[in-house]
Parts: sequence; structure tokens; C-alpha cells
Amino acid sequence: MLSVTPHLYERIVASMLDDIKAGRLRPGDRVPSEHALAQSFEVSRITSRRALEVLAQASVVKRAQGRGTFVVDDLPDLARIGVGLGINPDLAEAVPTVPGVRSGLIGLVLPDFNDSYGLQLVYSVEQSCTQKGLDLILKRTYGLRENEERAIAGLVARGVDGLIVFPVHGEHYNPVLLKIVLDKFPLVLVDRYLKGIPAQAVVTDNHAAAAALTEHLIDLGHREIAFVSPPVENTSALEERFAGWSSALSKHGLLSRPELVLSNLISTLPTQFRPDNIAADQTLLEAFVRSMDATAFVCAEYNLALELGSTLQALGKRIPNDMSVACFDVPHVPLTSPHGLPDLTHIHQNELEMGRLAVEQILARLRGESDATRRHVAFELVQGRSTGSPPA
Amino acid sequence: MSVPLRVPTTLTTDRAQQAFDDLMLHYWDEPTGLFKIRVPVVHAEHDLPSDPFHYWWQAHALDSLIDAFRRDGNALHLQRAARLLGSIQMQNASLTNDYYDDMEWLALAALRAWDASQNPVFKHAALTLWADIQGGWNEHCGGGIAWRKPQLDYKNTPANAPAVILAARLYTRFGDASDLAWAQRIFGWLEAHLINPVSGFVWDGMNRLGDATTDRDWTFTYCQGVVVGAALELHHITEKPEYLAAAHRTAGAALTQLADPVTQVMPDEGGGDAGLFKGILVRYLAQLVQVTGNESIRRWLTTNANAAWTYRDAASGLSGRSWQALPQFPLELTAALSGVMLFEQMAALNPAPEDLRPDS
Repeated sequence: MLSVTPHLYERIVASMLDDIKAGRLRPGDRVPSEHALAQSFEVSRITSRRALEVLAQASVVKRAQGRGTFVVDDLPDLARIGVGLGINPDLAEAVPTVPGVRSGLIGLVLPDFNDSYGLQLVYSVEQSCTQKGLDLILKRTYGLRENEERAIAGLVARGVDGLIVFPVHGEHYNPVLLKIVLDKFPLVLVDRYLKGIPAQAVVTDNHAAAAALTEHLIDLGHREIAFVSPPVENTSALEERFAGWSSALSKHGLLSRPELVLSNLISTLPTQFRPDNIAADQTLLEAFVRSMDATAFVCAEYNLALELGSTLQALGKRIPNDMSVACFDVPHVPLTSPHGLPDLTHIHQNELEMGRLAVEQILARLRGESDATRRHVAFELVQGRSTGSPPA
Repeated sequence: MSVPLRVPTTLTTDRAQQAFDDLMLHYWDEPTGLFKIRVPVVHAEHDLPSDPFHYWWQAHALDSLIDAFRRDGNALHLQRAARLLGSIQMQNASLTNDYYDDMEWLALAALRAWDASQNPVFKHAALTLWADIQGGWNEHCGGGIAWRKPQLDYKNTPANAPAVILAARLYTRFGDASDLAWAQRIFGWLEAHLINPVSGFVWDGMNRLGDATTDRDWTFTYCQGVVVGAALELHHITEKPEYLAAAHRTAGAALTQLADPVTQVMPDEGGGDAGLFKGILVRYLAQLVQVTGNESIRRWLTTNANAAWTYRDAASGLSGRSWQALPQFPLELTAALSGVMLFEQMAALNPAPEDLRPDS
């Protein structure tokens, strides 16, 4: 082993971590400024800024624009952070203090992720892992069950401490998953649960969310409200969205009729978002729109809303004057829209909270707390410019 | 997927195609999304003011749309099936009604529509109906599902055997063990109360007048059909030979007791609801032939199909109440449907043999 001279900024980080551990700096306290640190450690401001950036990245401090830098209220595990930053060369101190953690590896297995859904979830799982001093291994399954089985078996063999799995579409059962659940392996499902497998899951209450979207349209005066989705069978998130749509209608004395449902669209399934599939789905959408008198559409996915939008446009229908369109999940754009409202009325799922809770549940399992429950993450209905009253 | 298939034609598929097209031409009413109940449309003495559109006739018409889709893969049939279920609900003001057997017919058709389309509304409808139907079971007459809500102590085959088929099919699709238990419990009650233990012939019902009497002189074709269907479903799940034996016995009893001794043709059982009885029997007899290859039942069905084909109305192509006499007009949907169901079942039994298939 070569002994590596620590970077100058690491001395500052280590010293501040010591101050926090010893209680000289407590949650909420303001920490010395870049300038003060540069002076007391006799380094450049570039070095002291780097130290504060590293600490902010690790969620030890938070920087408030124009007010200074503060110790966070909810401190991560400092020992693990030190190890992660290569600080604390003293091995006695490097012993993990998160109970139950052995390898410090967490596996995240998911079909796919993109900017309309999944990206924020990955972002948040990674961030939570880093804050807890855990390393994340990411595997995509491309929506294929055999890939999912292989990924899970491989990660377990690699000795991961826990697994976060976003199951593939249309799966109610997976023997490899069932086996690790029965073996009491720390596993948390995200986005959807599997009816055949009694595992912990962190999900949006999709039933309530779809019902809220449908009621929003009913409140605007719509009576003929269609539901557009990929095949729902055995995908709990979609089954619940369908059931939410259906129950909102019946609650208002409206019938959920089969002609109001188009649920055989495949272009938005993982790896299928290609021009040929999109064209095939748009053909189905066009026939669907022509076949009945709907004035509003609940789309189970953002990209289906886009396909529907261009189909309606091609048919000369204006949104929302002639037809209203609402959906789930739109890409995260931090800009305020020039019109004051986002384009699409949609359900915003709290992916950040979903990811955070999933990691938290894994850690709870490692501490020996077991809780095979389903946790709901709050959603938000975001009003956009795509829904309005039906034409008189 | 509902891609139109290029299906090689045979005599039986040609007949089914023609009969179905003629049915649609004369009975399908595009504006309402329902089937007309009579051609030409007039009022009849058995039309109840409470049931002007005949909920359960429409349920069997839904089955016919699914038969046609399974034969030719044309997505238009599924579109119409979707409209039809919506129209039935709107016309009926709800999915459920007072007659448990009617709800069972609609649930069975909806479940087949779900198989064909994977449209979740059909599944939801079947499950909603099934939940309501379970409430019809009570301990009058030692168990069984009542025929209708205002008369909970009248128990009959039409309210019970289709419930066995429904519960068994729900179990095979969705795996809820309590549905299998329902199917076995209801079938056990039927065997104990309404199936002749010697011959296997099925009686219609008991305690209709509150006097605990079994209506043994009511001999209807469809009671035999639904018991055959119920036994087949349970055999399919459990593979127990006694269920297959029960299906064979009842089918044999139907052939012995209900076929015309000279022509072997099934009887004209009357107008109204009774027009549908033969169509229901042939649906489940054909299933028995599919499963077991029973030759005598296959011959019986073929004889009936040939007779019915001969006696269609020349102008409209429709079948009447009797399969060995020309139809009378006004002609009810029930009789017309039974004819179409017979030709569809023959087509399903005789797909084109390998050597007849055109080179693709």
C-alpha cells in the first residue's frame, strides 16, 4: 500500500466531521465561511470551497443562498461518510456503524428509466445510498423477466446487503424474487407490488391518483371519459389506475363501459418506444377516438398522452377546446412555463420520496425490523393546460 | 392481438360465417349498440315491461360476437362486444339485476370477452357480477343459489350450473382458491338435488311453488348443457375422472331423452327464452367433443347442424325455433342465436385439416 497524502480539502472535511461528532457543531448550526476556513487552515478559498462542496454533497451541511452554510438537521451516518470519502484511515473507526451492513452494497434492479419516469427515482436511491455510506449497483432489465431473475440472483451472489426492485411489466410472480422473500432477504419493491409475492413495497396510491385525475375531469363537466394504457393485467400500478378510473366514474353515477378503454398499447413498454410501435399505437388510438364519443382521456403514461395528442391533432381536434387529456408523470422541467401552467394536467409521483423510503426500509430490515407492508407515497395532481370544460 | 387472420375456409367455417353475417344484418342495431329482440320488431305477450330489451338474450348475443372473433380474428366483433356490454348496462341502469341466472350468463360472456380482448372492463364486469351472484346462495333446499332475488327459496339448475362454470373459470384465470371451492360446493349441491343419480338427466329446479317439489316433468335441453359444461370445467381443474364420467352421463341422457327418435334433431321448446335453450346445449356438448373426442355426440351435433342448415329461411338465412321446420316470423333473437351458435360450434370443432390449408 502506498501512503497517499490526503488532499488539503480532506483535512478540512475530517476536522469538521470531528467537530460534529464531538458535538462542537450541532445540527442547525452555522459553519465557518469559506473565507474563515481558508484562513484558519491556511489554504486557498478554492480548497475551502471544495471542502464545503464535499460536505454538502454528502448531506452533512446545506448551503443557503446568501445566508451561509449550516449543519443539516437530520445528519447522515458520519462514520460511513468518512470511509466513503477516504477519510478516517484509522480502521477501528472505519467499522460500519449501520447495523447489519456487511458489504455496504445495495442493488437497484429496474426495467428502464427516463426523464418522464424513473430518472428521479434512480437519482434519489443513489443519493440516499451515498448519504448512508452505501454503494449502489444498478441493473436494467429492459422489461424482461429472465433479465430480472438473472440480475437478482447475480446481485445476491455478489453479496449485496439489500435489493430494491422495480418489477417488470405484467409480472405477478417471479420464482427468484419469491425465493429471496422466503429467505427473508432485505428486499423492497418500488413503483408496483406483486400479488403473488408478500414483499415490502413503496408505491404511489395509483388507485387514488387515477380517481383524482378522473374526478378532476368529471368536475370540469366531462361525462364520457376514456382510459388509455398499456395492458393492465398483472401490473399493479396499471391495474390500480384502471380501477381508480372505474370507481371514480361509478361514484358519480357514470358507467365504466368497455368501449371507453384502450389497453393494448405497447409502445411505452421498456425498449419498445420506437417509430414502428408508435405508429401502430397511433393507428389504434385513431380508430379508438373515432369509435366513441369521449370528450376526455386519462392516459396511464406520459408518452401515451403525447401519442394521443398528436393523433387528436391529426384528426383536427383541439386540446382542451374539443378534447381534454390528462396523464401520469411528465418530465421534470425546473423552468416555470411561460404560460404559467405546464402543458399537461398530470399526476406527479414523488419519486424522490419513493427512492428515499426504499433505502430507509432496506436499512430498517438490516437492523432486524421487519415490516411487510405497502407504503404509499403521496402524489400531487398538477393542473395543466390540457384539460378544460367539454365543448358545449 | 386482434389482427385479422387469414383463416382457411371449410364447409363448417363457411356456414358459421354466413349464419353470423345474416344474424348481424338482421338483428344488430348500430344506433343503440344492442341486438333487436324480434324481426320484424313487434310486441309479444311474454315481453315484460320491466325487461324490454332482454338482458340475458343480449348476454348470449355477446357470446356469439366472441365466437365470431375466435373464428376469424376480426377486431370489429370485439368493438361491438365492447359497445354491447356498455349498452346492456345503460339499458338495465346497472350491471346487476334480480335474476341470478341472467347475471351468470352475462358474467360468462364477459369473461370470454376478456379472454379475447384483455379489456379490463370485461374482467371487472365478470368479477362484479360474481360478487353479487355469491349472495344468492342460502340454506333453503339444503343450499344452492336462488333463481332470483325476490324468491330466495326457489333453487334451479339455470342459477347453479352456470355458476359452477363461472367460478371454475375465474379460478383458472385468477387463481383465487375460494372460487374453486365455490365451484365444487355448488356442483355437489346440484348432484345431490337436481341430477338423476341413475341416468344423469338434469331436472330444472325445486321448490318453485314453496312445496319442496322437484319439477321432474320440466325437461329442458339447456339444463343438460350447463351441467355438462360444469363437470368439464371441474375435470379440467382437478383431472378427477368422476367429473368426466358425470359429463358423459348427462350428455348421453340428453341424447337418449331429447333427440327426435327418428331424425335425432333436438326439440322445438317454444318461443321467448326457450329459443336459446338448444344453443346453450350445443355450446357445451361441443366442448365435450373437444375434450374427449366423443364420436356419438359429434355425430349428433353434425346431424343437427345439417338439419338446421337445410331449414334456414331462404330469404334472410335465419334459423327458427325448430331445426326441422322453416322459421315463422316475427322471429325472436333467441331462436336465431341458437342456430348461429350451432354453426359456430361446428366450425370450432372442425378447423381446416392440415391438407386443406392453402399454401401461405
